[in-house]
Amino acid sequence: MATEGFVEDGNLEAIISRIEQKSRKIESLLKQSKPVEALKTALEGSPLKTRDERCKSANWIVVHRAIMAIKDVDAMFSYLDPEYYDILMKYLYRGLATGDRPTCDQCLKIHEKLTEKAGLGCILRSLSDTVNTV
Amino acid sequence: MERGWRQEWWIQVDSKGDGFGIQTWPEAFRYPNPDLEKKVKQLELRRGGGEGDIAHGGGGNPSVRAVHHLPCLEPGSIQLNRAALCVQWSPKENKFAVGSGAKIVCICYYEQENNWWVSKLIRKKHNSSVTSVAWHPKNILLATTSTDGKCRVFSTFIKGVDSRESGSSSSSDLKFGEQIAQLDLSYTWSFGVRWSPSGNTLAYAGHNSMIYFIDDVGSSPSAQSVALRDLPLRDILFVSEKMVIGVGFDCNPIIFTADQTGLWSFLKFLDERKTAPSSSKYGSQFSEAFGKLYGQSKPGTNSDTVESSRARGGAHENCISCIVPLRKPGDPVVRRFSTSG
Repeated sequence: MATEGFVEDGNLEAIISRIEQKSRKIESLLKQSKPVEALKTALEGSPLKTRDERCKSANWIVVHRAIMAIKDVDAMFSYLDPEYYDILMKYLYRGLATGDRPTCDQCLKIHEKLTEKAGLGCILRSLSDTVNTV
Repeated sequence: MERGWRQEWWIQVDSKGDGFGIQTWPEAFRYPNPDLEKKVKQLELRRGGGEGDIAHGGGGNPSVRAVHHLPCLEPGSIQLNRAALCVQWSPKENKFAVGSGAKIVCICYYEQENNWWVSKLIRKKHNSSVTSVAWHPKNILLATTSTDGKCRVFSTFIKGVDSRESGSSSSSDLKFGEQIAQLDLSYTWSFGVRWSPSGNTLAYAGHNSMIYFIDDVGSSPSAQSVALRDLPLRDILFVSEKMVIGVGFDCNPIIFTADQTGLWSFLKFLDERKTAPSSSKYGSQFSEAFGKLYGQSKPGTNSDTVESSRARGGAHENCISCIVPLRKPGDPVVRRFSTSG
């Protein structure tokens, strides 16, 4: 595995503070009841380029919060642009890997719609993506 | 169509060859492919794409059996400890390239003094198996894809075989085996590299369901990637500068076209198949595999389930692994092509 492109340990603090920033922004968007905007924000910062588990799980907590806030999946897709599909799929698999009942229910629900919309190619791209570590 | 058969297609392209107003239909007859029936992995030595002279050879064996069709090849001139995976004649038919699982590309050529075909190797450049090779029309540059996800372009200039003026001034200055470009667009295996007829555009497929188009590889490369909705491609054919047919795991050739500005996009599936009521909404090998698994879990209805999920009316029922143009020598327009899987 090539390590170039992945940030050094010294930048971990910067990543954590970026995740905290993102978390605050998502909370405020959720308060304004804009769940799709919150999800977009969560997915945007995702090229994490780190293998540090602390960063990854901190980021996952934020994204998880945004995914769980989605109530109407069909409405979400009418606002979500196709460029977010691949990374969303990747987070859905991370969600399914947790084994947590409500998380899996929500992820499966979105997964079904996303596969219908973006096809099997989306799943293949999310599986083969080695740059975005989620 | 079962595995091991070859399907022929006609394609009508209008005079400009820009891919609009095309009509395709599968040929009424199909050919059994004797080599594949013997479960030998197919290798084709293509003589400039001429129809009558496609030579078949065997792969899957440490030495390239295909080369035995050539007279006077130096015994053991291609010594590989892994299978040969792809082979292609150069446009002038004075060289051919063999890509292999041994991370090596052999460039074979005829040596006048000894009356032998000999090979020169491009080694230590690929980090994994070489899945396809493609010659630039000027006969010097060779593009390769490999399972390390990269697409590379090499110079294959051989003294005494290639003359200085045969390539453009820049490409003929390069030494044999020199790497001109390395394209790092796919994060997974890459397959099916091809040059456009003019050699200006290079295209290859990634196993992550993407197809990449690169303009001006030598001087200032600019890349476009097109994400597929469905399963990945295995091989590509340029019909014209503006039109590409891709084949792969969807069992159905796909047409891509470039618009006036050179922007590539998906046009349509080639094989308009009737959708059988029992086929799932994805209509792919993936759902067929599901059908098989489902069939196995219920022994009583086994054959019925498999049969119904297969009745999709398309020419191919398995992954299409190869697409070649069929044309008369000298005819610049591709009117017919053949697919096999």
